[in-house]
Amino acid sequence: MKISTRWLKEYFPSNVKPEELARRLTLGAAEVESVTPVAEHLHHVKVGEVLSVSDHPDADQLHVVKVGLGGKTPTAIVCGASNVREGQKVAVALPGTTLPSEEGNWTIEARTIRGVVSHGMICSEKELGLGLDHDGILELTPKAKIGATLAEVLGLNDTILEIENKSITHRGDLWSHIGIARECGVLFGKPISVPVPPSVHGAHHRRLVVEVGDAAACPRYLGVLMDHIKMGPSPRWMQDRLTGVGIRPINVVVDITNYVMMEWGQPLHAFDAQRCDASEKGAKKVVVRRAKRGEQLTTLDGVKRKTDPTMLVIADEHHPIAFAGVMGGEHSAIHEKTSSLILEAAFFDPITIRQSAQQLGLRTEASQRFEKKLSPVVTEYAFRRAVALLTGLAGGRVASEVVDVTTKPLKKQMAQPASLRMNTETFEQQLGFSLSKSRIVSILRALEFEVKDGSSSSLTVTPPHFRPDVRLSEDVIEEVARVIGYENIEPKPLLGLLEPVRRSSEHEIEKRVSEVLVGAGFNEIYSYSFYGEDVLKKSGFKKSDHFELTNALSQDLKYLRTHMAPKMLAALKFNQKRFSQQWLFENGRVYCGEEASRIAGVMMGVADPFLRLKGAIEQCFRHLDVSWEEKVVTKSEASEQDASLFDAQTILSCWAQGEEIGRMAMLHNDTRQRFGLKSDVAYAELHTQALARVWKPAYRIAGIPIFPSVLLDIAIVVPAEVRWQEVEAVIRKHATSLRRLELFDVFIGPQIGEGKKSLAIHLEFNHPKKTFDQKEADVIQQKIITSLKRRFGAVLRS
Amino acid sequence: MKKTIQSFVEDIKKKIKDLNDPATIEKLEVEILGRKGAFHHLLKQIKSLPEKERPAIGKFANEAKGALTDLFQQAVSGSVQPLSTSAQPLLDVTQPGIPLAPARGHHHPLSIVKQELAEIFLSMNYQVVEGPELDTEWEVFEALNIPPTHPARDIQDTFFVNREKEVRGKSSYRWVMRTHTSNMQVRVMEKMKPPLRSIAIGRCFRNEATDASHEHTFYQLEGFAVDEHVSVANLVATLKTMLESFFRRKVNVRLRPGYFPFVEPGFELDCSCLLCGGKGCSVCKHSGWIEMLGCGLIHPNVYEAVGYPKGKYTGFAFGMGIERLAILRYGIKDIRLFESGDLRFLNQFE
Repeated sequence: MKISTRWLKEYFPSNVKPEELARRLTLGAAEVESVTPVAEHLHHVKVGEVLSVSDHPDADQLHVVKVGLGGKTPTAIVCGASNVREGQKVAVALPGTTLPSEEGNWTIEARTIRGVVSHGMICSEKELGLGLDHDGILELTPKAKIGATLAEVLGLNDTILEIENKSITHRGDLWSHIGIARECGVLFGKPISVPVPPSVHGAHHRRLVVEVGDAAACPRYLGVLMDHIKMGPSPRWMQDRLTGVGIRPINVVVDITNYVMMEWGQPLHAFDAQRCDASEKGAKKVVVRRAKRGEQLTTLDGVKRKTDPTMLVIADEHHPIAFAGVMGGEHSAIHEKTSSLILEAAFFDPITIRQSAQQLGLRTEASQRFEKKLSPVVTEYAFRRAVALLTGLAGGRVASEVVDVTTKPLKKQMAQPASLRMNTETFEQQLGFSLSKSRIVSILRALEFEVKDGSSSSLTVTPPHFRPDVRLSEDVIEEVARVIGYENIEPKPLLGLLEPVRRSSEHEIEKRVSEVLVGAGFNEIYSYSFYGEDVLKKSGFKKSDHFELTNALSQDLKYLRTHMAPKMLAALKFNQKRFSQQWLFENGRVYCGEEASRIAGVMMGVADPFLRLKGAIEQCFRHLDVSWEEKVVTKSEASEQDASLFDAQTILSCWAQGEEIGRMAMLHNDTRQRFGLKSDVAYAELHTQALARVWKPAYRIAGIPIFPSVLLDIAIVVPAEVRWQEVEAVIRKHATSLRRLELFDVFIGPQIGEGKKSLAIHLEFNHPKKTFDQKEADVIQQKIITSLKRRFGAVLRS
Repeated sequence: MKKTIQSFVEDIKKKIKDLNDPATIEKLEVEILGRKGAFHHLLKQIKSLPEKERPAIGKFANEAKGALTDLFQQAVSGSVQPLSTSAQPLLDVTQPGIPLAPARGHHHPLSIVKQELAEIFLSMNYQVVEGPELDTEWEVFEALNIPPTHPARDIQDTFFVNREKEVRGKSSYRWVMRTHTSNMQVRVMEKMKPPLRSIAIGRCFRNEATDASHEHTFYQLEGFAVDEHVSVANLVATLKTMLESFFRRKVNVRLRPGYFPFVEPGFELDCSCLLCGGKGCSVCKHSGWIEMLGCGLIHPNVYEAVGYPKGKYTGFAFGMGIERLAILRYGIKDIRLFESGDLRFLNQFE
């Protein structure tokens, strides 16, 4: 919202600089986003004197004008205006000057118009953004000094404060100059002058009937008929003020309603009375009701809009004439021939207005204010002020009684506003510094709160009518604190019992695993939690397994991921042009029924990607001191998603204490191709919560062996499909006192025959109480070999 | 005679100074101090002196010889050793180090920031908790004093999920992707009683189009402390300590009014500009301050929603964007890089 500092001075007469106003408001009331001199371009437009006017040699409608700007040589400008005359003082925009326009800013350049070079432009009122007149150039007073800036001549030395709307969402009263002036008065400790507009005396020669059909949505409605309206533009000063705060001047009536809105924060509306259907006996009737099914209304912006039964409308006898609090209808709008009008000032239910604005997709200056809690007292002040201005500036005369429809509860609330009982000690407790009662009372009174000073530390506080946002004692404390200045609060460390704290074990697992993976050479990536239909297709996932965003940003970001792999594969694809080798991991959530945390890793572009990735995962388990078991997952046991992504022969699952803590597999070739990946990909995931549950480190080590070990190396040839897990089980069954068992080489090649593999194994035997006997080792070796022979047809390799 | 010896010694000293090859120095030593050397020759003159003077001069000459011998020794040991005498003849210590194999990978910048923040808060006795990203309107809005009609509930800001509504008593709540980590205030307080000091760091979502400074997926740190006498002054101290620990320097902080439905009073916290230190620069838009986070004292309606007795506790809460800290620290120009998976970006964080 924009605030004109010049306008503000009318209520807050002080010479505080705009920058200081902005600083103090930001620290004490509302964030000021920017401080900008008004109509900055007018500081660059110069006053010139027309020295001569001659016809353009090649265009009937154009003139070549010589303009004196105070320099030695006059400037030649091509001008099409019919009112250009010798001796005039005019506004000249020289090349390089930027002017505003409805389509955006544009910069003047020297250009050739039908063979004559024009070194700038003589501007009309509209071109300068000063008004609507585009019939001819703007004629300045003969007293205007040649070469001076237009800003100086027009006295437009105003500065605009742009207030961040979000910072005043809860403060309906601050959406106005008077509201901001009140804040300034308190923050600078200076008096303000806000005159209460005089009450309106009704007349009797015409009648206005107001029927409020939905009192909850419209607790107060003020209306009056006015006639003798003389249409035309509003006075210059009013237009300047409106332009300054970003509102386009339209005509005197509309400008007055807008002006009062910017002054008091209360939106108003004026209807052309002749365009409203008359009810019985010539009386005008206004109905405030919910829209009826099928009703339509073309709004001021020329758009035909459908209503909805939840929307509140203002209607005449038959049709809606406005969306209450949002925008008026085109048909009943004030136009250049309007002579009588109905003025409306209403106090609506904020939620109703917000909902209809939302449904209409229309956010107007009016709806933005009505969405907040406003003051029903200000409704009347603004109404009075508008009547006074319409009388004074548009010749209007009150033609009917003032109709005031106010609900009983609201009347009661206005007569007896709610008050709060407070204890001054609470201020100190919550703010953390001591505060005298007299200081509290004086600040609250400056804020126009009514304060009854009770005994000792008690206070009874009644917020003023324009502060409906203050309802709790916390709200009152805030008021006092912000006036004192939050920046003056001395930091004090929080005291309390120190108790041992820790990260959640999930967080701990993530931290530790990440450390291992980064140490091993993996790079951590983050990716979105959503994917689209194309990813579902590439992954072979079912739509029905997914939660879906009902209001997704795009088709690619529609489904909540149920598996970590797809987005990681996408990352591999993204990077593969530049990085042939990629080891990635991600900590993230999947949402399959319940939300679960995963740490997923992929490896691409290396030899033996599966075993390497497995090595990294084993390292993670060892680091966490978790002992695990492996289970080979058969195709029928694999989840549907895993079966679709991975090579079903390669899925391995890791278990600890009856929980699955991780899983790994090779990507299926088809999946790889669908994702456009150049080489084999291994995938692994850890189930963070399960790991957190089984993570109970034993912190135990084995002692250093006292007696020497016996080392044994065996190399056996087995059929290639025999799994190490099975071989290992056989060895462990026979090997007592086995300290170490290591598969140190796997070899497949013609030397050992088709369909075979050679396994080379280190065995280390050690007995805690005696030297392990070499003979005993030989016996064990023999048993192992015999057993392997029987089980797998293994052959000892010499 | 004394003078002659002295000037002889000075001469030699000068000569030695100019030499740095040990062989040449040793050769000169023989020429001077050798049995047929120049010094010996000089000493012969002592015999021709009167007998009375001889012992003194003799002593002086001996001392001079000793000094010269020391000088030669020092010169030899101090001169540059030829390479060939080193045990590491081919080691060029200025060559780049050999990278570890495999080279260490890279943590994501947001993980680095998240971990550091967790450490800071652990050191201040805050527990670090985790919670769901997909949560219901109760935890994300309702219990936080954000009623259905509040602007923050606008469909434009929140992603809704087609999951069956969660029923609680008579009300049922839709599922949403959390728009802030403040749902953790509700979740922790519903389970635990004060005194409480907790932080939650996690992923949040907002339904807004992305560009260089906007993301629909982002991270927040939520922190809160609830006890019987927690004040605004405590809040300021906590946040100042946090920022100073994170940026590893002194900073100034200031509160100004801010509006968040779940706190009252609510504040925006500004931190003195990290680039210019408060003098004014383009980063702080010449104000000397940068907006850091939103905070305030927890609203009484929140205590009511989680079932705490009325008026018993006070507490503060704050919510801070993690990306913002990373952007400020590393000078990242485009927020979308965080979720891009682009290794050219990620490889830069050690």
